[in-house]
Amino acid sequence: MADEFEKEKSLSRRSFLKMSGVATGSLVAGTYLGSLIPTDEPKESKESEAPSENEGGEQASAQPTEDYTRAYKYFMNADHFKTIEAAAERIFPEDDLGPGALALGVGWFIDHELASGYGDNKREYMKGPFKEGTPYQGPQYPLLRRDLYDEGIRVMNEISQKDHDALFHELEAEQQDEILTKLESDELELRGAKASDFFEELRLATLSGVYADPLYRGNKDMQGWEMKKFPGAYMSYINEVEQDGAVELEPTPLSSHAESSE
Amino acid sequence: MAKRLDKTDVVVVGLGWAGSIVAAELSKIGHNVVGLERGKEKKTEDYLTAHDEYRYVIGHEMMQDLSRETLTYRNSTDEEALPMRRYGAFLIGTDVGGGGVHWNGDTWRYHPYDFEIKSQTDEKYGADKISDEYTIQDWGITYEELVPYFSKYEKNSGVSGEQNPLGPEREESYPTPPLKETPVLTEYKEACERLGYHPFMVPASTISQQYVNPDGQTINACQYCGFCEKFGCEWGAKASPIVTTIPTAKETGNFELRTGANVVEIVKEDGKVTGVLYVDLLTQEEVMQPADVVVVTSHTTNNTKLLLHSKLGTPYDPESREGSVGKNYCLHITPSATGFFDKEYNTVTGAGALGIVIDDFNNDNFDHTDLDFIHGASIALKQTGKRPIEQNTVPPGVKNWGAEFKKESIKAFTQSLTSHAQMITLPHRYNYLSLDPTYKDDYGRPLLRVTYDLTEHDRAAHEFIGGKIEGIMEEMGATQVVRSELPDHFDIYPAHNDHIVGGTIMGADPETSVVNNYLQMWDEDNVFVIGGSNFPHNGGYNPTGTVGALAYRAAEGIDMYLEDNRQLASAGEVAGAN
Repeated sequence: MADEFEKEKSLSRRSFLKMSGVATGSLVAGTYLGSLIPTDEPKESKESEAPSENEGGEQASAQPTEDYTRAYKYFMNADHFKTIEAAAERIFPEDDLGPGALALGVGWFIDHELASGYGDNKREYMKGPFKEGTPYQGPQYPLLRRDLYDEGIRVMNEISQKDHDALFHELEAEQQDEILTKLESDELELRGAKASDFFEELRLATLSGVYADPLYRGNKDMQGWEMKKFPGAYMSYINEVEQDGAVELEPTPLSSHAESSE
Repeated sequence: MAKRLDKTDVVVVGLGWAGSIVAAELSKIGHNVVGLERGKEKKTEDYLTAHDEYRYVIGHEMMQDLSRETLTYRNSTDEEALPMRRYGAFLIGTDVGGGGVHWNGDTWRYHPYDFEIKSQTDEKYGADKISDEYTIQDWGITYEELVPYFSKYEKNSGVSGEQNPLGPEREESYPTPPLKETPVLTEYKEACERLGYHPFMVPASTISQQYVNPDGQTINACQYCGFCEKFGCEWGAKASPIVTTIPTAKETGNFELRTGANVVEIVKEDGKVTGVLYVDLLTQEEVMQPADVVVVTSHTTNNTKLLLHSKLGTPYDPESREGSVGKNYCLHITPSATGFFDKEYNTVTGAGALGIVIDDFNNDNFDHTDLDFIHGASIALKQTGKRPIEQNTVPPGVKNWGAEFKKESIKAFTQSLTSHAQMITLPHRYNYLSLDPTYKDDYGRPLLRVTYDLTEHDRAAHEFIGGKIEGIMEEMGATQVVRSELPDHFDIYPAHNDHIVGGTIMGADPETSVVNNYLQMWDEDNVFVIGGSNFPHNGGYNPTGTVGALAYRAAEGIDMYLEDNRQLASAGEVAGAN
């Protein structure tokens, strides 16, 4: 199976290289290119293979255990980081389908994103004056996402300490859900934005961390994709598009297409 | 003081479909054209690693940087408009090729009824059918007159398709045959047939087989990878400016493409437009590019903004109903219905314009005598390829997070299908564009202000069309069908539809339109404005095919203008006006 996977990777990489030629006009393309796409996909053998969760597990165990990217880029405080991890896990929990946000690395995804353009709303209009507006005018709060997350984390732990004498990440799942529900329904107050603004950001970031390409540090071993039967970065489905029913292929990450001189 | 460059024959502002078509057509016949694009140059190779939903969809990689420039929004004139701080309802493309690169590729001709909507509606249903608060008007051109230009655009793009059984008979078949009819599409088609409708394949610029266009540019065969809308095509298999018109223009040797050039004003000196002023985004220098003809081909919103900043034409006033710049701004309302099924579907493969569509409830194909709306919608099921961050549909009653959400959203990824309609959206007196009094862009100029709300007409049409879509999804075998609902007021934040039109509309009367039917300004003979901004209303199809046709016609008009420097149409005498 691993061999098949490698074969798929190299084939798709090869068709890419060919395509660069097409784009500069040095090759005849189209149907010719289509013929380069592997036609004998391991579809038939797919049925007899182990369930997808186990596949992910096998892959994970084959990889080095040390991951040097698992360090804070934005967060400074472990309790803050764990607050986000725990909240994300409640939004997308582990169950019999597979891992939840925690095991998928969503905390690391969010940490990384907060340290980048997402964190300081780089491509959004952030000039004043800031006014609340009607419910139909979209988000108008002045906080950058970093500040919104810091504020949300502060409020979550404040209520958690008050009601349960513990930090948010130390609570039982039901207690965490109660606090998240209060955020969602604006029963808690944040400085500068509504609690529901923060909750919605966190919800969307959690889903992004679950399903974005693993290059962003979430979606560990593409298990988010496996659960959803999304095959990832395939460049062609010319052989699958006429198939009836869900397409189940080994997930492919963008890293299988990125070239380097290394 | 701005640096003043040497004069060129034609300067084009924005290099999406409209701008690049004009650039290609005029440079081919020997005119010197300078193309100004605020974004960067992008080519097919740049999209080799574009299968990145987070970067392109969530991160809006190919869209205008809102930190520099956005618009403000309000529902009515008695509200204060506030900035659209992040993307939601619609997207605004940037970079060479613009929206023509990140589009899905549905390539339609607007219907004959669209171009004469006012006179035909009055004639058939009486002048009282639609209240005069709805500012519908004829376009100053007929379908028949546009046919040669539609044909040029389709041939440029190698469009794949088949005759619409209820549409005007085509003068010749599409350049390439339809895309593959997949099992999902067959089921939808058969459901439509059982209901007595007339399904056919969506005309597509994600094309079915390799094609060489009349300019010698090759478009490759679609590989059904499912990454079209909001992405560039790594196969060069989606017709776009970067695989057709831009290379054609470059090959002439008469076209200069200048990127990082953000035009901020059309310059008028001694009573005549003499060129454009732009900011070089790399050096921050202000540069004046003189030209005999200025062609404004940026996004719908930016076309209007540029005219208002430059004080060209007369701004529209909704109270007096005078003026025309900013008038007839329309979104595109898209009713939909999602069916939940017991079985799994092939939902990840597809192409931007792979779909089955019906026209039975579009245009004036059915009688509207007892209905409180006119026109209608094309209704389609498209297999565009689902992606996992965006697609987290759950059945009603399931909240959008937690254990049940996870289970249901994963299930619905393969077990739900959504059918959408591109629906008539009428202009309304109070839906218009103007300059904002408070908020400014990075260059210190006022933002464009959008005043827009849903109209009773569009709600009535949405209700009717929504019911038809629901019926199809039920017939297809869905165990549960959920229809789209319109909010109390239009909301700028949730994703809606990128087809926004109006603001610099075309027509036969200088009092009620900004440009004549060559897209030449009534008030400035050497300024041409082209884009969705020319549409007096949004019809029942995706708009790009009609934008392409208008651009080919404009290119002819510009060439005529360069001959003898005249206004190409006198009021009431425009070709096609009765």
